[in-house]
Amino acid sequence: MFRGLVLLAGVALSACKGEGAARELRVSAAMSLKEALVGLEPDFEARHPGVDVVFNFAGSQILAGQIAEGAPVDVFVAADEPQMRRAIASGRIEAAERFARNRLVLITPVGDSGVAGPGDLAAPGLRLVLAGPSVPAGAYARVALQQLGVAEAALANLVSNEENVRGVVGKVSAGEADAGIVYATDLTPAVAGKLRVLPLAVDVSPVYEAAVLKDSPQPALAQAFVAELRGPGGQAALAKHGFLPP
Amino acid sequence: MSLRTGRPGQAHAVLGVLGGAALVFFALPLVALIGRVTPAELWAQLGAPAVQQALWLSLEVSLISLGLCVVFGFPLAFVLARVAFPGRALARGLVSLPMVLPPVVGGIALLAAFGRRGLLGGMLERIGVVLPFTTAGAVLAVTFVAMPFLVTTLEGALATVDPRLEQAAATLGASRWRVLWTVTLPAIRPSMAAGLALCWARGLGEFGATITFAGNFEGRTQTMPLAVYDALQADPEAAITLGLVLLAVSLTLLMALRGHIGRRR
Repeated sequence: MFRGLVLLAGVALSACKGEGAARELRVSAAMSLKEALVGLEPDFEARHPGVDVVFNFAGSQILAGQIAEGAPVDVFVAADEPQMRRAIASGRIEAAERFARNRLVLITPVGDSGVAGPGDLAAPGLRLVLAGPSVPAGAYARVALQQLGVAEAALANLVSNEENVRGVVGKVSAGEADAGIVYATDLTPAVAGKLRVLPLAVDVSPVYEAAVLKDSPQPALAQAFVAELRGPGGQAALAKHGFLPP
Repeated sequence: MSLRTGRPGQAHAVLGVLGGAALVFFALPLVALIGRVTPAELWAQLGAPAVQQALWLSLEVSLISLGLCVVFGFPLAFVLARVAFPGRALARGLVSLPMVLPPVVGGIALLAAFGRRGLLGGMLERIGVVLPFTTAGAVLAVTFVAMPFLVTTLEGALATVDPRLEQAAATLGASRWRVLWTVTLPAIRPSMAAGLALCWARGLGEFGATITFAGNFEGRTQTMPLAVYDALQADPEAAITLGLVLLAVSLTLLMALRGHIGRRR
């Protein structure tokens, strides 16, 4: 009973909050873009007075699922093509624009982890953590392992399929896992000191795409945000966090 | 208060309407879920090897954890209810904490204690015990989150047992164990059933602490809730079906447990 009342009060409060506040632009964006997008937010808001950009960060596959279920979103920013295609298939998006690329790296905890290169991923007893196969970062990582010719042995060492790429960073930087494959841009200052980064010589090029939802009540503003990502300001903010131009 | 001034019929109507609204609130989402799946789909999912694996792992993990909760939780509840010791209030608070803590935080805390670089990690590794990424780790995570439900329920029940009954049995020559077995336990039987059911059901539904501490790997640490979340990434319909399977299993076992143990003879 008490719980119900608290819940009701919470629902009522959150329902009132939006009124009279700034115009909200709702952006569902891939987790790996978090720092870069938050970084370009003040600039965009300064040039669009009265607008408040509200981010919903999660794995692209989660966001695509939310969009298919009818979540109120103005802009969808995905970390790979299949998830954008999934959102397009739901009928709420017409077309998407590519605005950045990323690259994969191998990470291992600082100290003696026994991993000096991709070849060591096949060593018996090593604890490898990847994002799950349906998570973009996990799908790319598996392609990379195939190209390196260590897929079978490395996947035998897999101890966890994380729900998003930051989960991999977390498990490796905590020292619980010996190695993981993540985007170069996931090495934020908060974790950089705990990780050793090794290059991966693979031909895998994760792309980032953005799209305006067809049913957005503010299509012009949404389109302006997508243009911002492709424009000089957005590209500078993205480059600062290690993203490559499209 | 105000219910008392009105006629009893009025009070019942008010309680009925509000209680009914609460029931609809709980039931509606579950019914909506059922509406999304055909029995054929449900059956097909139940037969899928990955689903069976997750289901069995869930049962295994939650039942081992329930065993641990009984073995360690019952004595803890007894001590908290019956033994006055300095710091009892703090101990009670600590025991309740996992119930209000976000399970993910519980998982991080478990890593800090039992992880490779955790407080006891080095010691555990020396004796060959590895918890993260293992089924044992999943059991530990589930136990951490679920045990408080048993302990607090039992503690509350033990506090209500009339001590004169136990004293009477003792003066008649019954040993302490016999008093516990023949007087105390029967007196708290319904609460025991409720506590066990809650504890077990909470364990069966555990997600956050498990994925944080034990990771997500099929057949090893991927219990049903993790499998549901996994399916949601790729195939939302499958996730709904899996969720329903979990729901059906939980409901069946909850009703069975509460129905059997909870009944007073």
